[in-house]
Amino acid sequence: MIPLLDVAELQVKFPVARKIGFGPARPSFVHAVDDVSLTLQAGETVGLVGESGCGKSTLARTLCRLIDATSGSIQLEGRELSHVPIRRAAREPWRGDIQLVFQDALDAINPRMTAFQAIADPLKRLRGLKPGPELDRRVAEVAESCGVSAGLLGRFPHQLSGGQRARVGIARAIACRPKLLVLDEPTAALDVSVQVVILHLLAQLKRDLGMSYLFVSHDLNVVRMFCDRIVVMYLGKIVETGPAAELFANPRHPYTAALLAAIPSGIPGAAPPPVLEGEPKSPIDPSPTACRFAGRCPAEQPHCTTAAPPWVRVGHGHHALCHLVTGA
Amino acid sequence: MSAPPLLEVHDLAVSFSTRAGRVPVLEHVSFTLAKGETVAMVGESGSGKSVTAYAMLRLLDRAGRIDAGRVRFGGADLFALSDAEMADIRGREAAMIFQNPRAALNPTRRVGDQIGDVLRRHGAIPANQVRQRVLDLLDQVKIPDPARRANAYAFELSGGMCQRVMIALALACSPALLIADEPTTGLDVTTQAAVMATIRALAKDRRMATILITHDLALAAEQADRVIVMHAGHVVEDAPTAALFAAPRHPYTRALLRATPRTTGSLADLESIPGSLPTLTAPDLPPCRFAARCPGATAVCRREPLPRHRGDGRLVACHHPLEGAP
Repeated sequence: MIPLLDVAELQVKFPVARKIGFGPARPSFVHAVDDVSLTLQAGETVGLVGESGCGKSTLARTLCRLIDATSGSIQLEGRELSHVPIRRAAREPWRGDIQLVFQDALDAINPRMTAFQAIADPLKRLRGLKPGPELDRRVAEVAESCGVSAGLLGRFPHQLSGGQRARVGIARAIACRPKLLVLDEPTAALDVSVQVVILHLLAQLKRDLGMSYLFVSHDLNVVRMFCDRIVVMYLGKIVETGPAAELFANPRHPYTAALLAAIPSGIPGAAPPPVLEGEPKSPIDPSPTACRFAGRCPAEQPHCTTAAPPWVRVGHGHHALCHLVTGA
Repeated sequence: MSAPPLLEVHDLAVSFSTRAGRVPVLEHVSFTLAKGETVAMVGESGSGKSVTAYAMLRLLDRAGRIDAGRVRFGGADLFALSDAEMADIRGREAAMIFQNPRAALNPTRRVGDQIGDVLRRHGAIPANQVRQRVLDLLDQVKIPDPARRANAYAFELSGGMCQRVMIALALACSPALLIADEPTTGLDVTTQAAVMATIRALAKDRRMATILITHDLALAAEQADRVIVMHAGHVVEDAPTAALFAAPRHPYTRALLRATPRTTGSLADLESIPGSLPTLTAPDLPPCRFAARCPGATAVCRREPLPRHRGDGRLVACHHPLEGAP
């Protein structure tokens, strides 16, 4: 069976000018996404986690074809998307099949559009609907499924509460019935009371519409509850991937272990988490023959800085990029 | 306790003037804080956590007015001080760190100079020792290579680094009270752990009292000795951390706990809190501002003044406090 999304050896590099001494600047590159391969099955929810700057948002945006990949392939149901230039990608027939929900709908929705117009916009542009009763019906239907009451449809984004805006952002993204919904920190700006409602809504929509989710978040407790499978990124590389329950119970990469240990336990009087020392290395031209986590890794060995770590299978569907793990 | 508390907030009320009239934002906010104690202030956005902190330090903007109440801090009545006396206390005796460190730092001055400004303003040390003290402070908050980072601008530092600079800035004059307003919101969990460890270690060394304003209950559980829960401008519960998490007595506290994702449990276990914060300008605002969202509300809650029960070192503002387990 071909997976819904198949990403192979994807690289996204951004040029930076770095001038050392005299002479012309040597071209350098920020390796934002480096040799990333992952697959996503139909109906699956995959969580993408990692520190800020690790490339998770760049990856999410590249998959939505908002950023050009440097090399590698992105296939949606076997169709190659990475070769289409960005300008044309916006008008490709598959554009409605991958949609993105942004962190803060206040920034993501055109402030001069009402909720109705914001939801209708992708239907007009991507599904070719003309203003009329059919469009009205579709917008009303989508709005209702996302819990946006009819009375709110005439309002502008600034007239909506945070939770209502999040609902409009989701309604807009699912209006075209996408097969893959990429959620970039959808609840990070919300209070816990509202976050719960939005998470329940997303779970309900997935059941009803059978979408796949790529859920980008740095809230690991939310990711654990919400996702089937977890992908952990560090400095542009995927360092570990596995089934959610398995990965949380038995993290194999030292970075994953440190990340999970840093989650506040919520238990009064519990020992505070161990501190991961240092900062990530620079993503500009990283050494190809060293582990990216070397220098911060509590279990580091001499060969970690002289050889690139291998991708080791450590369990069923569970892999880690590390010299120190033993395969299964 | 025999010694007077370091900080005593008594019956604080604050209102803001808006186009829709005066909004009673805080009502009857009272709490105390002992030397060396860490207290977390939790609640949804708009519950009045930050306003309480700003009002205490007299940092409210012009629309805000303190209608009633008293704040005693280290023996002084903060609301009776002149502006100059208050300015002396801010930064030296009581310091604050803000949620968005990059926005709180001056973008056009080197961070080392900004820390130096605080030291010079409060005249704590001779001018020729300022630079060395700045480097010591940066070193204390675990900034690697302080001599180089002192010359950096805020935009050249990562979010975690900026927050450490803010902490160094706040702690420059060894304040007796630190107010940390969402110090780790927007930071990664690994950075959050490092920043909180820095604050905790410094607080312990100097017997500094800390008010940690956060909406993350899990973080509050881990860091605080006591938790103050706020809802729509009322303190609804104030209890030692362990007791609060073991058996919340206010229905809002229980609802918050049930809405917070934990390290165990599933999505189905999470319960939302019905409704939203009440509109504070409503003419029929009931005495209990949680009444409209509360599963156990009765006619009494909408009619009678809100009782504030004290006992066992905790406070609960409810007509029908909960008993037993969550």
